[in-house]
Amino acid sequence: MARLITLDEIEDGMVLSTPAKNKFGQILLGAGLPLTQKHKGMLKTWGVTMLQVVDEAEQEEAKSFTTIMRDDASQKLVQRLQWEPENEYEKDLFEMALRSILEKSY
Amino acid sequence: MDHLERIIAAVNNLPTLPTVFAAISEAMEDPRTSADKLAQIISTDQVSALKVLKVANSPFFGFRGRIDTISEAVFYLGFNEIRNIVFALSVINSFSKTTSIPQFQPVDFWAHSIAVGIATRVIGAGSNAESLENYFLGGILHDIGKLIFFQFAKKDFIAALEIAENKKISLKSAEAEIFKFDHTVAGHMLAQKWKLPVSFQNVILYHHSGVTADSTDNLIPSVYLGNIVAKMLNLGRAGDDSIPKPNPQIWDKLKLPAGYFSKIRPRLEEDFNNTVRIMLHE
Repeated sequence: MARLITLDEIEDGMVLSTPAKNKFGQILLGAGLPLTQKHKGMLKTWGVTMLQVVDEAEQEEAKSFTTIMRDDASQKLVQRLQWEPENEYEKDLFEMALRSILEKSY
Repeated sequence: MDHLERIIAAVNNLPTLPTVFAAISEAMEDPRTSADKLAQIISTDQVSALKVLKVANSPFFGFRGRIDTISEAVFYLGFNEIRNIVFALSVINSFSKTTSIPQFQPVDFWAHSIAVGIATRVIGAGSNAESLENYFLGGILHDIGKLIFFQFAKKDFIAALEIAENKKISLKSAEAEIFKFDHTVAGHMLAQKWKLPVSFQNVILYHHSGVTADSTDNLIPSVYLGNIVAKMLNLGRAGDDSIPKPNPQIWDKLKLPAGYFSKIRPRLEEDFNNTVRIMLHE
């Protein structure tokens, strides 16, 4: 679920899977925090060299579900919600629920 | 006596805040209170102290398995967060003895509340909220009004649950049909009776609208969205299955990164399973 990266590999929107700590074990940034380029300097100052972020490659695996499975789950989800996603945030919420259903069903 | 009068009388007759919580709150008002003193108060109840430690070590607080004593927990998580955990455990304990019925099961209700607490905190983190210490408890308490109905107006509450199910409407609307007010109002009465901080009172009152005119922080929109996330992921159940389309104003308010929900989902589900086990089953 997590991937180890160096500070240079930080990309905007990557999400910390475990807290970033300094050498004294004090937490600098909490798990779940979305990273931005501005964090690089601060982390470097505190001597942090590596971070654990959420592994998107693993999440991509969910895409390996067949189109039929996705369509079926998608239809059920729309029925439950009684609304269809429109903006990017709603589409992301929908995708989140869809992947959860797919992983639990197949 | 009408519904409102009956519920007000029931809330007025409820016991005051759980004892340990009251003792902690009092101690925290004294600026000289040390972490050790607070730890001593919490430790007067060994069972609750052990649970507090387990919750403090939950991965979503970021200190998995590293906190060995209550003093350390206070040091790492802060006075308020520890007091909030004690409070959450006390409230769950005092309201979990009610009997389940097929339409409403307190264990599922609390599982949903815990899911909302975790999701609220994660959403708060994603929105770069300044302080996250009230997010977990805010999520846990948001639906507390349903338990007031369940405990003191069970027959009518069951009728509301059935209306929501049959008409495919929200439980909030069904409650308004029966009681002429809903669980946000009932919960708010309880929060006032318990003299909870105004931020929690507002969470309980406004968790279905997501935004308020005078709210400056991200707590209410985070609870609002946390509730939707928990329902969409089927984490616990709080009486009805309606999932509203999010109020578009919250996206501008929270400014979450793109793709955030898909990224946090696996971890959210894992944290949910662990925390429910600790808080409800161990």
